[in-house]
Parts: sequence; C-alpha cells; structure tokens
Amino acid sequence: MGGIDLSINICGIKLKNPAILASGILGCTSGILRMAAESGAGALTTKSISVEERHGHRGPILIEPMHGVVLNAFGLPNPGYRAFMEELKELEDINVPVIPSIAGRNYEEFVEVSSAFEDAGSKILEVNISCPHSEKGYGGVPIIAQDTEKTAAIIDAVKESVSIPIIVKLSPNVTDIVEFAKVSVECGADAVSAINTIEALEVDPILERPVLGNMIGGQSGPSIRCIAQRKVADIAIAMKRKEIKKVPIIGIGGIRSGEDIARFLLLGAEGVGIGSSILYDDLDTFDKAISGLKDLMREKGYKKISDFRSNALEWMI
Amino acid sequence: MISNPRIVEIERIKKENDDIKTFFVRIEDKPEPGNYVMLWVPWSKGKSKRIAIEPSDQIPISISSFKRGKIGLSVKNVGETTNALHDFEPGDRIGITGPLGNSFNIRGKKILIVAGSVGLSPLYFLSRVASEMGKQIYVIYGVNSKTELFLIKELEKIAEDLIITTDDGSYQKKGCVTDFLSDFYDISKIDSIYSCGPELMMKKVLDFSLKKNVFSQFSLDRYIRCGVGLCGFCAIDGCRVCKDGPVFTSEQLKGFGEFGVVKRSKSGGVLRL
Repeated sequence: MGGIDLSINICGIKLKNPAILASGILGCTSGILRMAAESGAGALTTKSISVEERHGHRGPILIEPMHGVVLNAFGLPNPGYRAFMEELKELEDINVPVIPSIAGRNYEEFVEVSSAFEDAGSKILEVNISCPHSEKGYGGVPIIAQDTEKTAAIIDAVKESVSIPIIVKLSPNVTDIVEFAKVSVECGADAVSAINTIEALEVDPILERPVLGNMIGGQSGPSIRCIAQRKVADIAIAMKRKEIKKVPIIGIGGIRSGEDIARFLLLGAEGVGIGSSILYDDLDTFDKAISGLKDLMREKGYKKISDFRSNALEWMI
Repeated sequence: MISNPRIVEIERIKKENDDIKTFFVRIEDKPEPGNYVMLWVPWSKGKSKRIAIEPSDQIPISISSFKRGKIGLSVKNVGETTNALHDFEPGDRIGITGPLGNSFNIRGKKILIVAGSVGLSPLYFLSRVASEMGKQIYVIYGVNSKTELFLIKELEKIAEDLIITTDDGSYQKKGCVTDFLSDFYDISKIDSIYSCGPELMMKKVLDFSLKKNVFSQFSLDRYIRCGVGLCGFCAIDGCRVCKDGPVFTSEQLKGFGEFGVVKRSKSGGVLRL
C-alpha cells in the first residue's frame, strides 16, 4: 500500500528507513538495543566504546534548563570493547544494522577498538572524535575534532587498520565545519555525521554553581535543529561544488518528526540520527517520525527519498 | 519538559538508626508509592559555599513518605553522596529531581509487604497509603542485625501483623524473610505481595508468588543515572528501571533473564549478583 520506499544506502549498508538511533542514547546493553531495534529505527548507533571501561561523569548528567534545550555530560561511560562484544553477540539475530561508535584518547586506542569491531564482524563504524566533554571538568583543551591535524591523524590511522567503511562524527564547535569535513574525507572517511552536541553550560542561581556534575556539557534537543541544518547544508554545498568529494552525510540534531527528517534530507543528508527527542515521545519517536515522513511523501507524490533529496539545497547554490 | 534538579531546603531530619536518616523536603508534585527522586548533593557540607573539591553524584532514592507537601527520603549512609548528605542540617540545600518512575498498583484487601533492609522505604510509603485506603497490611521485614531496623514503631501502628527477622538472631526471629513467607501467607490469606530489598531475596519472593499465582510487584535497584530513560544504563533486559520501572510485576520479572542474576556497573558492564 502506498508504494513508498524509505530505504537508503550508506556505504553499501542498506537501511529500511533513514532514521538512525544516534550514538550516546540507550545503546549500551543488548536488551535496550534490541528494544530500540523493535521501535522501528533504520539502524542503531551504539554508545561510544573505548578500550578500557569508563564510568563517565558525576550527576547530574542530563538536564533540560528550558523546553527543547537538553544539556548532557555523560562522559562517554561504557564497559570497554571487550565487555561490549558480548552485548553485540546477543544482537546477531536482529535485522537492523548496528553501527558501533568508537572513542579513544589517541590513535592507538581508536585503532585497537576499530580493529576489534571489524574482527567481530561489524560492517561499518562511527568514529566519534567530537564529544565536547569527554575529559573531566573545564579543561579548555581542544578536542580531536577541533584540530585538523589530530582529526587527520586519527582517521588516517583507523583507515589504515580497517577495511570496513567509517563514518566520522563532526563537531559543530569549530569556526568552519567544512574544513573538518574536507580533512575527514581526504583522509578516507566514507561518510560524515553532523553534528555532535554544542558546547554548553548551565548555572544554578541559588547554588551559584554549574548544574551538570561535569560543570560543562553539550547541548542537544529541538533547540539545536536549525544549527545542525545549517552545518549539514554547509557540508552538502561544499560537496555539490566539488570542493569536497561527495560522501553520505548523516544529519543529527534535534530531529523529532517526519518533517524534521525531511528537512535534513532536503538539505542533502543521506540519513538522520535521532537521540534526545526520545525524551518526549520515548521509543515511539521512531514510528511516529517514520510514519510522518511517509505521510509527507505521499502528500507530495514522492515514491522514494531520492525523489526529493537535496531539493532545498538547490536554492542555495 | 523533563524534571530538572530543583533546589530545596531540608526542613527536618530524623535519625532512624546509626546508618539511616530520613530527610524531609517539600516538593511540588504529589508522589505515588513506588516513585523515587534523583537526589543531588551539590557539595559536601555547609550552607551555600563550595567546600567539596568535586560535586557529589546524583543518586536515586525511593520516597518513604508523603505528608502535607513534604516527602521523606530515608537514606542509608553507604557511599560518597550519602555520606556527604548525612552531615547536612535542616536549612541546608539539596537538589531534587522528580518524583520519577512508575508506582505500585494496590490490589486486593490483604496485602503482604516483604522488605529487606533499606528496601522498606518505598514499601512503608505504600503501606501508609494502602492503610488509608482501608487495606489490611501484613509485613515481613528482615535485616542483618537489630541495629539496622527502622520505622518499626510506625509499622506497628498500621500493620495487622508484623514479623521481623534478623540474620544474627539479635531481634525477634532468626533467619531471613523468605523462611517465614509460606506460613505467613497461608495463615493470612494474602491477596497481593509487594517486595523490595536485596535482589536475591526478591528472587525468592518472586518464585514464591509465581508458585502461588498471587499478584505481586517488586521495586528494583539499578545504577540510575539520567533518570529519564535516555542513557540506558539502568537496563534490565529490555526495560529501563528509571522509566519503565522501578516497579515491575511478577509477570514481567519472570521473563527477565537478568533478574536475580546480573546487574550493571557504573560503566554498563555486567556484574554478577
């Protein structure tokens, strides 16, 4: 019925729809990932996994100072890749692609974790170089994704050691995200995802101190959607203009509805990541957003996503 | 909007025993028995000066009472955050997020409470509400030793019958709560069972309630971090204890492979119980 095909293809991996569970949300245990798979997501990105286990930051780790303004400082908690492989094994029977997200402090760690996932049979990886608060407290030191040389070193090393495609997750906390997309693609990134959270801070006026346990954190949720759209458009336009080799872009930031998904696709994204919006509609977010997208496409007479992808971008070139 | 930590003053503190104090604070939303709050202790001690080198963590605490807009939080001094809190005085400020989570479903006329240690907290709130509804309350409450007991006088007022067990025999019956479950159940003709305490104890209560086919609910303990279902660290099988729980029925629990077997560590790794 309807004959609408929502499937997309990211680096040879076919997804039944473009709504991907974004990294950092829910993706740490097999039971919860299975639940997310059953919720209708097109693919699942795991929590970012490192070599050794990480306890993450102290609480509060998640607050919503104003409606739609979500701040978090989880601090990349994860059990380490050796323990996480056991969780992945439990998921071999699900028919939704799992994208392990990997994190590390240096290229050796990125290489170790990415190789382990390739050996375990993963078909694609997301390389998270852009968590804005992975280290404790207020450091003021640029993260990997804020430094083109560090970015290049990590991607070079990962690409040399694995043969599966990698998605590089970019930071919005840079002057020119296109520069970082360019470096990533030149070093062999097979896709990019944008954006990670935006550097943020909230203060309690009574306590006279920052609210997040880690003091500083990253902003996500509906409040960042328009910023994310701009960043995705910037990268997509550079690709259209052939300033960067064209690779799939996964748009992430405040996506909650079918219309939101369409907005990113219209800006040239191949697929989208959904995370913080799960706060509002829980796991029904995926079903609701996907059926919303279908309704919109039906209304517009589109049969497949490529019928309208990048249409909004055309205005800007 | 999700609930954010709201800064409240501690209005009263009641010392329950050497390790447990109940802190009374005012909250806006009416809690139901079974709900919990995320308790944030923003510094180690004092009024509004930063004394701690680092802020304490945010921890889930079951609500143990609700009266005239004030909740009671019975907190056992077991770790860094609770240790800091135990130094606080009335007038000191803490952060409260919530009430969060689901609640007990009070069913039948005769209800049996099976509590272990500080697991009595949410069940005491449940008992008070159930008693006000005209239910008959039966309680089996177990601790390691007499010094750990709390809320006994309060329970005596509302319970039709109260059995207290101690592992070391220092008070009333020597043994554990599950040793007395069967006899108590048969004599009192119980309609429903509510349990909270160490998970291995609850596992035995679950097995019993499934055997007797009696409606039962359990309040689970996991490492709760975000409290709103987003981070996923409090998972048990496919459920989040913070949002889908903390109260689960025997029907749910019998399908959980992790109940009574494993917990998750702070990093999400597997911890054998």
